[in-house]
Amino acid sequence: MTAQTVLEKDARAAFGHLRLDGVTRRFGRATALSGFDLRIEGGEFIALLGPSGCGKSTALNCLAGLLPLSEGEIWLDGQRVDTLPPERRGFGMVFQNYALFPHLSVRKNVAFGLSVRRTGKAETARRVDEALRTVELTEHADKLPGQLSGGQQQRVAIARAIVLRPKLVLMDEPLSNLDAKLRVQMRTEIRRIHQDLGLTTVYVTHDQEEALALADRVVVLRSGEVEQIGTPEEVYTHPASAYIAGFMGYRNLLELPVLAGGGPAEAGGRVTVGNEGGLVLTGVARQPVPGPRAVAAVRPEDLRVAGPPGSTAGENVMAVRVEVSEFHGREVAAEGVMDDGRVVHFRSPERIAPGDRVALTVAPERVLVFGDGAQDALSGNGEAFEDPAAGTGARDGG
Amino acid sequence: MAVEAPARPPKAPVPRRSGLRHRLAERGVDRVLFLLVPAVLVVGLLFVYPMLYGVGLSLQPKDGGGPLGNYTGFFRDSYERSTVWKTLRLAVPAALINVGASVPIAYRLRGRFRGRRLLTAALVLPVTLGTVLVADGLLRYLGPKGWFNRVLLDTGLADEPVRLIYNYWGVLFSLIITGFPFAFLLVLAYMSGIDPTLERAAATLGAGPWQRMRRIVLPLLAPGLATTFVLTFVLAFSVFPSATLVGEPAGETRVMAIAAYQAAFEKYDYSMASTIAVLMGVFELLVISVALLLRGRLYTGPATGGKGS
Amino acid sequence: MTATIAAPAGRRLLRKGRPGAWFVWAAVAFFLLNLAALILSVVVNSFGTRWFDGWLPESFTTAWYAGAWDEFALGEVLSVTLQITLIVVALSLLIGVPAGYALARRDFPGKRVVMFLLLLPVLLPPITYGIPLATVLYKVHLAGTMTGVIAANLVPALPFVILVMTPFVEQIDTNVESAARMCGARTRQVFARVLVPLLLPGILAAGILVLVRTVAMFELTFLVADADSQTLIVALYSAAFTPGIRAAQAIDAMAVIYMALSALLLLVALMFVNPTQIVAQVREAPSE
Repeated sequence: MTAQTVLEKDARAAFGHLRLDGVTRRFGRATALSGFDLRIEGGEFIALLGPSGCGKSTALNCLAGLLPLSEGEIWLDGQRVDTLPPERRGFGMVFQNYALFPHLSVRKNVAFGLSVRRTGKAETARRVDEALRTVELTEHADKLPGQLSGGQQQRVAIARAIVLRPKLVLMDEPLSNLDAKLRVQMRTEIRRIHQDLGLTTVYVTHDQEEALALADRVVVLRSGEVEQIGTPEEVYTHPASAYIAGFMGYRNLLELPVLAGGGPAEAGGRVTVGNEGGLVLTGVARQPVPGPRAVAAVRPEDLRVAGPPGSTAGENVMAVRVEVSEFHGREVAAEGVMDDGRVVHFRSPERIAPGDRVALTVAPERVLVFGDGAQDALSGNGEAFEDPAAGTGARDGG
Repeated sequence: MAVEAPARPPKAPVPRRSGLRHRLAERGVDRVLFLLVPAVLVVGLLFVYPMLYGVGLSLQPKDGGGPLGNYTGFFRDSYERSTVWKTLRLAVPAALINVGASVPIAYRLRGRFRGRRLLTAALVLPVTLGTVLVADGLLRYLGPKGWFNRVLLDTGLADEPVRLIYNYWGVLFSLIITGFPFAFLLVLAYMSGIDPTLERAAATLGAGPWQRMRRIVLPLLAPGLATTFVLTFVLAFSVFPSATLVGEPAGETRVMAIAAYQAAFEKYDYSMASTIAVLMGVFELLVISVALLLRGRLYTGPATGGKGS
Repeated sequence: MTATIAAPAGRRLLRKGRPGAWFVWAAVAFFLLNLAALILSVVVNSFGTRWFDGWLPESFTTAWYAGAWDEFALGEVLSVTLQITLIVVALSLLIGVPAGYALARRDFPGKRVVMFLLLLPVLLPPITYGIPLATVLYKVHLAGTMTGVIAANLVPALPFVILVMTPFVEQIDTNVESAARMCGARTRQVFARVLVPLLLPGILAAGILVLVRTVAMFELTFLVADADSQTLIVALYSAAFTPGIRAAQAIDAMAVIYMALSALLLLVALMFVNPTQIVAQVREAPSE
């Protein structure tokens, strides 16, 4: 690992922090990104997470300099960089479709940035070799990109970005064109390179799993605005809104009237929602619950099958009829319907068949209650993140 | 609980930077467009200005008679007027024959077989001959003592030499020889753009060869055929060398181009010459517009069966 | 020679028993046979001494070539043709490729007008704009000069290059350009190291097509040139138009020289350009 220590030293010393100040980008009348503030510490791995059209790629392109800002500033330590063209910012970028130079060999692709800087021959060769070794592509150095597999092209793109020892590496959905198995493998690879080289990285993705697995901090964007910034643990266990909860695995989002405990000052306290004589859920308020209605969010795996209907009574009990059950190895993932027609997703360690009637229970501390945004949360739950455009190479926000 | 709230600390509004340039860039106006300037200058100086100058000139008749004097004069004089009909009578059939003949030949040439490339090359070769050379060759070959008539006489198919030059037919032949390769090349390109699996799919649904051609290939090919017609028509419309060399430039094949040329360089009436040139453009664009209008009513989407290919 | 090629291909398809094929191959054979005979008549005549009656001339000679070369000053004409053609190709590429790039990459107000103006010279018969253009060139004393001929030939050549180049540019992923910038390349370097190499097949194709078209462009050169600035095809026309004065064989000798030049150009074109192949390779490379 002697090769990497050279890169490591340079990269770690690159900068103290990068600051985005109210970065805004409009396309005609549409605002793709509005007032984006973020402070990135040197060496940090940041993931920008959101569905297509949320502004995450716009943010990345603004950072790269490929899109001029409509408003706002970007500061690198004491230097303002948003006025610089992309070639003078010294950032590296990995594109969704890799954007390798098809007419150049792998080696020349990686060496491109060094050669436009007129780096000496020996120095270029040494650094290109290092980079190729880091991504384990040494034996493919003389092939053209067209002769490589998707995963190998991906590695070339990464090598091309890191060989310049950039202050900041920008990655735009780099894994979305790979198949599922390779994606997990490359994810680990990217994390390993980040840990080895300590390169500050901003990573755009629509896949929450990727964001949680890779990032030191996750920035959740929605319609051009920041919805939540936090560590993966925070975002996962304490989503700031029903919208985030929806794609952080809280597949059951139930809009219900507030029965008790609601009020403007009640964030963190207990709230009870439900219908008199019907479903009643008590949970933790994640934010003030001002309105007459609220959204209760429950993960499928937090619902327990308590037995046949009537075996338990009271709060936090749902009686459902099983509609669909899927075999998932150790457990069964099932979809049930309550008497009022609401659909509930849950897991069961035992086999259950469609048509069975069961009672489900959930612990109150596992129910999150969100006050506002009830309507959008329900309309844009979970599914919004299965970006339909990702596979075809389309990108959000232009 | 260490969750960062989405709230932002209030701060002074950021001043808008370089508003105009940014707004222009959003509409696609930035420095890249400077690359377009030389081309626009050349086209403006050498095409747009002369055309406007020509239109202006055509409105100032040499012999007076109001701004439209030349135009009314052109249509009142039956000798001049007839050039319009003579031009169309040559160009439209030539373009139709070229497109029509290309379709079955290109259809046969789709599959892979030995000699396909050579045959294609042989059919495309006359593109390089040029109108003057073809006209010269036609004079030799179709002349009363040329090989063609010799074959007819020796085999007894004709009693006396058939007159094929210095008339309408000579010009039409020259238009076909020079125009066909071009039309064929385009039709072949359009034809190979049609996904062959579509035809196979039609066959599995019970369509015979003729039905596949008529109901799958032709509808998908039709917009391409319209485009090909337009381009070959443009070529045929400007017949000049062949009309003077193998035609009857004073009579049957006195096309508009000849009339315009004679006005300019024999009568030195640049005003009338410009008038005829303008009318030539108008009549040509008229035919093209009709063809494109018909094309607009056809299906013009992709000619592949689904995603990918 | 050309006619025989059709035969094996025809037989193969005939074996499949398609009735329509018969007719099509017969028509193709007839067309090619006549075309070959047409070309051959000119070639044979150019080598013949006297050919009044009969299948072939009385005897053969190469004297017409030497005669034509001197009489029509073909050395001079060829050199003028070459100079004019190469300058037109160079200028139209130099101006047309960047313009094609700008048109492919930017959507700006008025783009449709620009596209329409560029399409017009390709669509209109050359005589239509050639006559007013010649009038203007006479006014500014450029008619009859090589500059004038080059200017006139640029009118159809430049839009042609732009129209050919635009789809080639559109095929190049904008991300590839962005990637070059992110690697630190300035605009000039992006062009020199990424765009031009990737556009090379298109540039070659456009250049060679303009070359062929300019050599064959009769009308514009004819309207603008005089004896010192005419290209081979115009010289050929002038000779053929006044047949009484020149011997038909000498004219045919010139025609054969023109044909040889065209064939040579076609050969060179086929050697360098197989655009479909190279383009396809470039297009597939970034994915999978």
